[in-house]
Amino acid sequence: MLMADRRQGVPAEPAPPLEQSAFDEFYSTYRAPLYNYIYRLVGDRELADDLLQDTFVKVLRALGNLPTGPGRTPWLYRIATNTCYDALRRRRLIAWLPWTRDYTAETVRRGDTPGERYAVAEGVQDALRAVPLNLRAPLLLHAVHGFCYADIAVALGISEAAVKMRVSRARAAFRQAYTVTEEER
Amino acid sequence: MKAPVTPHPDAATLGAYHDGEVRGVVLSELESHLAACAQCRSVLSSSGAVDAALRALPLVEPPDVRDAVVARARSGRRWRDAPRPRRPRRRIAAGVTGVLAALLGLIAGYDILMQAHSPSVALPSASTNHGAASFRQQGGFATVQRGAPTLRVVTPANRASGAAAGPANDTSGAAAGPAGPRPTHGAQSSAAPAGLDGRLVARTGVVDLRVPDVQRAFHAVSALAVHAGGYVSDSFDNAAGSASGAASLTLHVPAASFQATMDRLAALPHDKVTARSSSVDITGDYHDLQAQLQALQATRAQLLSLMRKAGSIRDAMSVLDRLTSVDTTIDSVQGQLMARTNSVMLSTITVNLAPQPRKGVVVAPRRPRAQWQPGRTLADALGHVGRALQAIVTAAIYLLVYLALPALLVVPVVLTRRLRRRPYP
Repeated sequence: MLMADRRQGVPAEPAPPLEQSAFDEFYSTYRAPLYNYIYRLVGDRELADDLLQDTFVKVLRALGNLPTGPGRTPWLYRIATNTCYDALRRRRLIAWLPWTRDYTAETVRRGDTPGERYAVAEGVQDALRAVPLNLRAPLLLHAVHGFCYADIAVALGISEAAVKMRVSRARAAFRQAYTVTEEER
Repeated sequence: MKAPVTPHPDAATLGAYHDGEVRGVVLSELESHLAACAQCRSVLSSSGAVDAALRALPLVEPPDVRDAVVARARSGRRWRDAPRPRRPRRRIAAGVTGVLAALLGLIAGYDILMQAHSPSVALPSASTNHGAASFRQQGGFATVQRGAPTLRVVTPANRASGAAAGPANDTSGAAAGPAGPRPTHGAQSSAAPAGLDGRLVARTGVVDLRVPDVQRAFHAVSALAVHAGGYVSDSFDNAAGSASGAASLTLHVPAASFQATMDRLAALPHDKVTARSSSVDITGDYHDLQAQLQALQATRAQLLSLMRKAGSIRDAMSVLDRLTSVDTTIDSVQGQLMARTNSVMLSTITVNLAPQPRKGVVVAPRRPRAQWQPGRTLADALGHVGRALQAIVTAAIYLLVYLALPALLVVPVVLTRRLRRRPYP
């Protein structure tokens, strides 16, 4: 897991402007998690590639205004989430997402047999696709990226109570969709 | 197992408990409930299953976008600047908009100003074209209207001649007892408004009004004349007879009220108004007549004295003939002088009233509905489209021209800014 520790958001003074070496370090740290989040959120590899680039550009421009330290991470994901929402709204894909089953390019880091991995991943991705977008984001942030509710609230710009409600509803939607897809097999 | 004492928590609370987000009193209550409730425990475990399934998703290898990001960031700004590279563009856009708006406002204002000062006579407003003011000041005159009355004005020269002529008249009148009483056409020294430099100016005006109600306008004009201290000398009223009847009036108002009366006439409710006024300087004319009168009166006095000295009746009769013709001429000249006096003291305004053309369709009620003519409709529509296209193209041309100027101003600024930006080494 990438960030499994629970954190409280800590307001801090803005960071100084970024030097190139600092950017490289930043880029290498956040490239993979941000991309996985974006990809699972939008479900399209090409779109995710573009959105990753957009997110990094925006993050660079906003970096002087972001908090330093651990409080920075939710804000990065906030930028990524808003970038995804904007792109999907433009493409009118909120209601429906094309889900490319491009498993060949995916790097699998588990020790399971390929058959099992394929079956599990396909079912989970289908079920995730059925979860509405605004519920999918908090679910991914919590389950995959280990955000606490407070950080999710910062990342999505909602209250903690709303986060609690949405995570619960997202799980319910996922369960229902997963059961259906499992029954269809 | 005993029944749980607390009510079942909702799924959201259970999920929050699973996520470690529940604290304090609620936490202890929840834990005691879960210890006693298998149903809630199963809900709890399903939350964990969902999270595990999602965590089991394979991680995807991200693309390397570093160079692209750096290139995009560099093209926008230098590294150490504050963010917001869009500000220069916003400023430029705001500047262009401001310049455009100012230009358009200038051009529109210039058009309006030019229109307001144009010497157009047929303006649909209450403005009247008065060149008389300048005429009066210059002492010149415009057109001579035939039959315009004249004004007798008190000037030092008049007064002297009038005074001189007065007693002579009386004397001659008293002396010419046998020749019959001569009516003294006196009142030569009547006071009357003089021009700025003692000149005699007769003012006339013509007002053409197109009014919704001719009859009402007719009465309003008459009332106006009386209110101004004048009177209506002529009137022609055809409005009562037919729906398209017109009317006209000739007013005489005191010269001092001429301008005010013209303004009030133009202010009557109307659809269209045309007003003209002219001034005639009759000073020279008047002086000529006065000189003529003096000469005639001198001749008359001579003839009277001649007749007294006449020896025979035949001589007296010949002088009487001559005297009669001189008297006739004197009458005529004095009449002209009187008329000129009147024309200066009383200005003449001719008002022509015309009805407004009927708006709306003038169709006989029993005419049958026109048939649907698609061919004509098509032709009309094509005509409209053609005109609309013309209008669009015209607007585009204007826009292009209007934009060309600010573009010429802005483009060098933009280019200079772009050239000034240096790439990050």
